[in-house]
Amino acid sequence: MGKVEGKTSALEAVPLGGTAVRASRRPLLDRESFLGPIMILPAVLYVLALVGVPFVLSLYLAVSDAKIASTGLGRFIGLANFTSVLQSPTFLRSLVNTFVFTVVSQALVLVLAKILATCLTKQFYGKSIVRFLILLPWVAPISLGTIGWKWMLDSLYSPVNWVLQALHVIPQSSWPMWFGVRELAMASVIGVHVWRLLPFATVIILAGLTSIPREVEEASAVDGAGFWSREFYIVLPLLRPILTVAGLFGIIFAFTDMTVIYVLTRGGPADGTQVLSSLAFFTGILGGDLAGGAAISLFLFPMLLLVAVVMLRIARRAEVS
Amino acid sequence: MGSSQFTRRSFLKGAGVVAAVATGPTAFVRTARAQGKTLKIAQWTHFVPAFDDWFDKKFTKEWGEKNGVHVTVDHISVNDLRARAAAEVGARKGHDLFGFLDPPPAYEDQVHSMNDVVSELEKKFGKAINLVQRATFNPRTKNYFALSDNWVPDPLHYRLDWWGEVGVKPDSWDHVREGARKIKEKMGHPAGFGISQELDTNMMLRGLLWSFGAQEQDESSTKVAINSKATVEAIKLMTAVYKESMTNEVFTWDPSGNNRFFVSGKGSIIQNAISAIRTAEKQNPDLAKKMGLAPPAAGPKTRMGSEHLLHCYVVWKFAENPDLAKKFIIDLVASYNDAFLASEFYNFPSFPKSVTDLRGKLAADKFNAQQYLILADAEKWSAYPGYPGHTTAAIDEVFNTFVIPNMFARVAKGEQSAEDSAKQAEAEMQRIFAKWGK
Amino acid sequence: MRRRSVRYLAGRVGLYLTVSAFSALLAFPFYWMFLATFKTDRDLYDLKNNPLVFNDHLTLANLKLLFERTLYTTWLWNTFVVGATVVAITLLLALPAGYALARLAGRWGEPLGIGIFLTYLVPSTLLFIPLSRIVALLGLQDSLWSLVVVYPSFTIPFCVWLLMGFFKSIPKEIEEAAMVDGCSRARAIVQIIMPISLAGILSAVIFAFTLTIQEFVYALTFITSSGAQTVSVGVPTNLVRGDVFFWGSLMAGCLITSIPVAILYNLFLDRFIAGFTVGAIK
Repeated sequence: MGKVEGKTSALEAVPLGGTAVRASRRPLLDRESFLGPIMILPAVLYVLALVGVPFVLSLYLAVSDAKIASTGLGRFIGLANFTSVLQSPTFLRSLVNTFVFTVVSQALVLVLAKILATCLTKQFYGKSIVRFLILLPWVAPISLGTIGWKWMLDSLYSPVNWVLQALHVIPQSSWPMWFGVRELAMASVIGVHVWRLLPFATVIILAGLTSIPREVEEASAVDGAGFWSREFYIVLPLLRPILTVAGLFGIIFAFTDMTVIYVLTRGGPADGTQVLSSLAFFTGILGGDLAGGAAISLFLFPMLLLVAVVMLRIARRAEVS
Repeated sequence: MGSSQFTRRSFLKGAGVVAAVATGPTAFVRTARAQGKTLKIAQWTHFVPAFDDWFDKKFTKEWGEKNGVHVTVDHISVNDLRARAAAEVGARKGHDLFGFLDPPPAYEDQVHSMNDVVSELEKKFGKAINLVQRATFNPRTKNYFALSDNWVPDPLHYRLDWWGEVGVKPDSWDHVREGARKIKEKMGHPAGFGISQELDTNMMLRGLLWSFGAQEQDESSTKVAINSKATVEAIKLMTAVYKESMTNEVFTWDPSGNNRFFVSGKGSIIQNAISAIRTAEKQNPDLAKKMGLAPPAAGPKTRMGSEHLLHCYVVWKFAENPDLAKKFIIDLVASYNDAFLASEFYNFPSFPKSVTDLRGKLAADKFNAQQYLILADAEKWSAYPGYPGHTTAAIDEVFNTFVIPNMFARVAKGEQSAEDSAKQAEAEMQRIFAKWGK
Repeated sequence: MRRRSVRYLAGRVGLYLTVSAFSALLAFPFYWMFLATFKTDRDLYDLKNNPLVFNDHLTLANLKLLFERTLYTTWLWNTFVVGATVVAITLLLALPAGYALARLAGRWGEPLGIGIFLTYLVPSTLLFIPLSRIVALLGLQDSLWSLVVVYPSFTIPFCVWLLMGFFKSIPKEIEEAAMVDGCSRARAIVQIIMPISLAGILSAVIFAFTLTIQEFVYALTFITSSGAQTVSVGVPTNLVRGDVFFWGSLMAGCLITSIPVAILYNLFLDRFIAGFTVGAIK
């Protein structure tokens, strides 16, 4: 996107998006080589200091034998933490759960958000109320919203079960135990996680949808394209950068956030919903094996890194066109 | 929790970064306390709000005035205590006194020894009860790493009316199994022994194991001993109880789950601290009259339950006023008559003589004196995680990663045989023990 | 013609059904929270009751507990102040960075953009221990300033990305034209680009503010005094006592925090969408 439409002759002489000021004496603030770094540096330094430094510390923790109360950083023990952790069936179970949890919840979020966002681009009565209602899960403090869901799916008092029973979908005698059966427990935590992220993803996709120039949609309608072919050949490709970023953010979030699982099931039943982030917390903070917790947390880091780089590349290249 | 928070100030060090200290909201401004010492205490939000009122507004205030110290008490939710402790240690800054609800052997290197406090208290009140000693003492370093002021017994709660109807008393585990089954068949009410990844399950199942003669480790605290015939027997019993008289909701619980289960009137029996029956007294007094307490069920070898909670204070090595902190604990234990009553009997004294006429106090309860008297001998039937060894850091990690509850859950759900599950638990425990160098 | 209107009608019905379903599923828990706020304990804990209606008289006891026995109003204020301050800092740092990455970055823009985003790969449950050391070193332990300093570390990366995307969608010609007329780039940015990107800025504000009020781990570990807590920590700490939950007050705390923010966002959302469809960007 580097080409500049010539507006004046002065511009034609300058190749890279230059300014119209004579090239000889540009004020400091206008020199891009100066302005660029100056504008980016504060943000980079800030994040580096508060995330980068502790992160490097955590990397070291993962290869040390540090415990929760160790003074200093413990001794270097190589990959022993990682090998120890691989021997535990709990860890392997958590690994599988992490993938299931992340992939399923993100797929659901993206699909549902796309549907909802598309609906919100249309006009209908009560739109403003709908928008208010769907924003609620996102703005509720996570700790409190999840506590609310604890009751919603409680083994005794669940209003969800009550409604299902009233609709004769389930019998009175056997209410589904949302946190007690592995599959249901996983479905519950995925469901609550999707519930909480849906508004956020919807807003992002809505932004993307509204930025698709009208002309594009109108042109395709004129050409006789039906709804579905419009969706697949025009809208979705145009949304690719937004979807990729939203998807990536969602994946990372699902990998690293354990609030929903911690509050609802504590990883149970029998590690049925234990994911890497919750296992790391239990082992490292509650169990006292800080280095072990760090190792679990960082186990998927190389893979996540790769995924992130790939997806971000896709997003950026798509934006260019 | 009141206006004292608004007047608390402390000095902001290294003001370089945050130089512009304006007249903003109180929480942003911290200025020097001109004179006087301070004592900062952190502990859990007690389930009895009245206890926190007594502690925060009466006891610490009066103590503060008597000793010329400004005392602040910060409360932390039970679930978040460990995380907060980790952060304070990581920051090497925090409170003087930190109250854990289970012994923290992993933090031994970061705390002052309590040996002097223990000997001082022993002079006044005699020795602390055995379980407290074993749980807060490290035999290798001959060091008390924490001082326990109170502990919480874990009795059975059962429905007097229903158990009376089937003519069984929950005396031994076989009785419990039989009674629960009869009640389920006759009246449809299930039993409530949780098999979830949470505190109540951890405690109850340990009691079950001990009553069969099984144990997590040996007395020297170095060898894993979980894989034994006794363990397998215990697992089989709980599996039978599950199949005959429980529903799969017992896999869904957190510590509040069995409370709700019993207090709602659905369950026939649970094992819990007296928070359950106290809640019933407030929420549903008529139902509370039908509730009874009993010591933990006896197994073939013995009658034993675990302490439900063991409240113990540590004094961080980086505390600003360690001597004041130690004095505070000594004076707190000396006032335990008041603490015991303010907590509605929840806080049982670790130094039994610190509460005079415990039995009499229990018998004078306004609601259910007859039931609370059961607790008079609680010490005799209570142990602690790691029994018969000590509560070590390795046992602590075993506890917090729910090895025991999962061992039982896998079998109850039919995923593994009892023998295989015990083997898996043994392997997991050995892995953890190896990490802690034991 | 008739076929067309049937399809149209089916489409409308489908639209209303879909939207209603989403609204119901997303907002249903809040309806229950509203009930729980005003229900008596007797009503709430009775297994035989219909949980979706009031079976007993309404009560203000839960609200009284929340407002009188806890420092809820203080926490609301703290949360709001922290949120506003963090948003300000975030914008201060992320706006220039986003612009620079969109316009001025050249070769190293892409790796830097990716790098900034990757900071999210490290979970706060891992970072909070070394961070509490840094917080203590700065003397900010137990002060809301600790949150104000730490929170931008996770609001900035995403806002940079967001704003970068917005700035990219504004054609370069606009600044070019301004600079042809003799304006410096800096002035062009402030006087021309900023007003156009109001929608983008607002969305960054919304995201940053939400991330801030949601956050739990740092708020828990850096602050213990009740008077300095935020809502997300203060409410569970004081209303979840051991194994006893004070449901009515807990849910009241959740509702009172969420509803005003949702209303506010709803208003911004209008601007946000309007900003796109206004012709300025074409």
